Amino acid sequence: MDDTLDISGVSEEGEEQITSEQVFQQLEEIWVNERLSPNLMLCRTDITECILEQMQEMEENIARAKKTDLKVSLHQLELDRIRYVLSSYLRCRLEKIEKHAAYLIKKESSDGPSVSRLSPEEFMFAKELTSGVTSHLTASALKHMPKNLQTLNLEDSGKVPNLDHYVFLRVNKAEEGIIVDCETDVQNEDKIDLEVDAQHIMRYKLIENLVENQTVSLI
Amino acid sequence: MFGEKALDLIREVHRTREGSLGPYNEDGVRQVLEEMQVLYEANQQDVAQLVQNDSDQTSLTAVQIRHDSLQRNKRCLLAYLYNRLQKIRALRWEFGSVLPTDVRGNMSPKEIEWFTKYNRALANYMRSLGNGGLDLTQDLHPPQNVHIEVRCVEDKGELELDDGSKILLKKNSLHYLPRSQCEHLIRQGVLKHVT
Amino acid sequence: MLITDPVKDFFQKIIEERVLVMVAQDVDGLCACKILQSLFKCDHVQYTLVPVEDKQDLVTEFDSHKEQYKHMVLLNCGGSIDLLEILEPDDDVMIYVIDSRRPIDLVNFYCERQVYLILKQNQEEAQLIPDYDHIYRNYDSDNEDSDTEYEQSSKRHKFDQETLEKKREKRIWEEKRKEIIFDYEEYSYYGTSAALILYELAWKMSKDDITMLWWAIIGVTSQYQNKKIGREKYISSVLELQGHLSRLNHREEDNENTTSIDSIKINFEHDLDIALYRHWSLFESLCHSLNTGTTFKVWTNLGMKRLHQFLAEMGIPLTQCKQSFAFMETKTRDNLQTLVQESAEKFGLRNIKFHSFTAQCGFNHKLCASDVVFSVDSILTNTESSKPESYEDNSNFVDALEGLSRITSPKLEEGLQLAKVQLRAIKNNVGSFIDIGQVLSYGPFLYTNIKEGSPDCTLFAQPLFLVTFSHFLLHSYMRSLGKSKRDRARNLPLVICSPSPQEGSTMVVGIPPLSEESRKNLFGNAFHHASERTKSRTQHHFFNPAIITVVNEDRSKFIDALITIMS
Repeated sequence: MDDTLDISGVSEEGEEQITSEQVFQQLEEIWVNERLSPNLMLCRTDITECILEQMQEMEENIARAKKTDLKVSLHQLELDRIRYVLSSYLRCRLEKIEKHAAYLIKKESSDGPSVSRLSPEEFMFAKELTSGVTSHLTASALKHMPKNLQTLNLEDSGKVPNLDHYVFLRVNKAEEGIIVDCETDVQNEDKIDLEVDAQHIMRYKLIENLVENQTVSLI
Repeated sequence: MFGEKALDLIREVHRTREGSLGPYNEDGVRQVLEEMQVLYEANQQDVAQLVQNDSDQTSLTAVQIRHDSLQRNKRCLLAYLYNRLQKIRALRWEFGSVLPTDVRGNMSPKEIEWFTKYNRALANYMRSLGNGGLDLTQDLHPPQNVHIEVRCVEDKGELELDDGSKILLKKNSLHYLPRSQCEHLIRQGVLKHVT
Repeated sequence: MLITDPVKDFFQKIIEERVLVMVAQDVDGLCACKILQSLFKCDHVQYTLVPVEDKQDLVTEFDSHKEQYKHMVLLNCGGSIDLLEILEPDDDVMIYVIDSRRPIDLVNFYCERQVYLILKQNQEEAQLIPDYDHIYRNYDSDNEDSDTEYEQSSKRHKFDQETLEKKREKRIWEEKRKEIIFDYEEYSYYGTSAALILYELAWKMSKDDITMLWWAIIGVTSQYQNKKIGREKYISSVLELQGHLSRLNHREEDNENTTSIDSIKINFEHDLDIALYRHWSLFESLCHSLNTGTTFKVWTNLGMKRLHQFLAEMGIPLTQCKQSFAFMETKTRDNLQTLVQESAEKFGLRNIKFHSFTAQCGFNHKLCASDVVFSVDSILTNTESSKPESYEDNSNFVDALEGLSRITSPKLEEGLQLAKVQLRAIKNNVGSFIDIGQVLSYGPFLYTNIKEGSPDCTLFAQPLFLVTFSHFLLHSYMRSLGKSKRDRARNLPLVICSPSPQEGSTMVVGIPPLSEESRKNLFGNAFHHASERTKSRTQHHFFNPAIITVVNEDRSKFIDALITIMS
């Protein structure tokens, strides 16, 4: 985002002083990661809220400005782009949530409140979704079935994200001693070092934490 | 053969085109359920006999097969229903909260019920974003221009724009409009993007 | 009223508004529309575009959109009809008119508000319009006003000398006014192409580019090709376009190699004036062109023979002539122009070459401006109900716009094929009409009637096609006459009747005589008088006043009246 133009709202309210440009970069980063990872990533309400706030500010600025100003159309387009990235990001999350709703809800309760993958709203959505599906399946079929077959376990029948999925990644910060193959014997664990800017293909499971803390980016 | 009917249902969902919804096969579902009932009752009888008379093991295999068929029928039936929900969900994203009548006609009353629920959940979620909410069903494609040129494919009457002004959508007229205003109409097939 | 500074008074005014654009369905109008669309795109002006077919259409479209739009642009329509009267716009509606039809309606020209005309700058066109003082008088000028005043004054001093004097003066003035208006409105003709006017507007705002110029070229070419303007007017417009072209090409050169090979390149050429020859075989093209076809009289055996002689004279083997142009030997192709021209002189073919433009995109075939006109024209008149079963039913208008949008557009290619079909239909019908002597001399004009149920009837119901056909027919008829008769017939216009798509009525088209170089057409006025005199049930709803529809029962008395009026 171009913050040299006077019209763009630069919000620097966050605790750490960051420019809108940096926020947007972060959004792009989590957007790309989210789209490429097989599992739902940690939820980043801090970034999305900030972006939403900025978008509103921009909208107000545009509404104030003169209609024929060239800058207005540029800003409108910029705003459209930001909105697209944000929508696409959230949409991508929703898709994953819908796919693995039962699994995620279960995980959420087992992980405890410290690591939350779902935002409260997303959690609500997932809850409503699973209850909707359950009641639909029950009403349409299960309840007409013989007694012993009426049980439904969405967590078991629902899909589970494939954490063994191979992903491409680029290293941002050097990291040493990554265990590449944990299935093999503990004695001869395969370890590698990640160097900055190196690119690898690995199973997602192994580097999930690194993606979350931005040591590596998915590409 | 047991399970044949259930397989037919699966085939039916599989055959319908991407992005469309076939009619809800109520008959099929009922037949599968009936089959299950028959299987279940037969099993009940055999099991009762087995309990009375342990020496006679001949019907044990039959019970086993029936049981597997029951499991299979259940699985197929649930898959049929679940996949239809997936399709309905996709249609929700395509057409918005109000589905075209022909799609609605293909849905069972229970499916419509589910759809309303889903709609509500989605709307609640989208409303929670930002101050005024954010419509995630918009902006499906990266924007190229603020305005786009569209052609009207059918008479649609008046369309009110964000700024309060109205335009008349008449068949074969061309319009140059803000992209955000016509995206959903393009998806509904009322407008066509002219490149 | 006339706009003197279109940038300030037209474009800047509508730039912040939502605009309704209404376009007449002719090639020039579509080209103008294309230019306007790109201008709007530059400035993000939101618009709606609707095609209008005739006056009735104009009113309907206006009425259905007038609630939503306060700014309307009329392209190639409306200039010659009293817009305030037929549209009855609300006070806050602004109508901008860019129209090549002449004469301009005097009310449109002199009204103080709402209707704004954009004409070509510094041109004699505005001077042809009668002075304001001759049409309107400040005192008791308006008719209604004068009536009431007249009544009042007559009551007060009936025999007042002064009033009598005034009355006499007024009568003289009114007679003179009538005369001036009659002279002014006697002929209908065409002025500067709307596309060219809009191109100049773009140029003044430095927003012109090579694509816009191409549209302007097509607009001008269509006027010439459809016999709307004479050769002289065409040449002067072409020279202007050439000036713009060399300026734009010059600018490109400065940019040095930044333009990709895929961009459109336009060349000014002295090209052969035969139809679609780059997309047909030479033989077919010569057969179906207005110029060569009529000179050789291809509908006779002798004519065909002469055509073959002509080809032999050029020394091109017949097999090659009948082959698609693209597959002719390169050597022959390169020399074709000189070969044709040399032999043309021997065979009495005049004006075989004309100044024109070709466009090329990447390594595709060259496309001649007149080819595009043929193509788009035929798309507009496309009546084929058996269009390929595609999932869309596009209107001809949309197809034509698409054809114009890129020179590599597939629609353009479709149009070329359609054009060939139409040209074949024209040639065949012209041949049979002349053979059976369907063209009759009615004294002041020539007359032809197309019978109901004749082949190609659907095509003849298309006014655009019918006009093109009439020109072919008139030229061919002239050629079929002996020398002495021909000189007299050169001064005769042609009236042609054809079954109208409306049940029970006939479409009547009049075209000016061959000798009329400026293509002025007096039928608009004559049709009006004839219908008034006989109280025939006629409809003058086309933008072109020389095309009307008349109820079948009234046709003969209408034609009779026309004869009396014109002799």
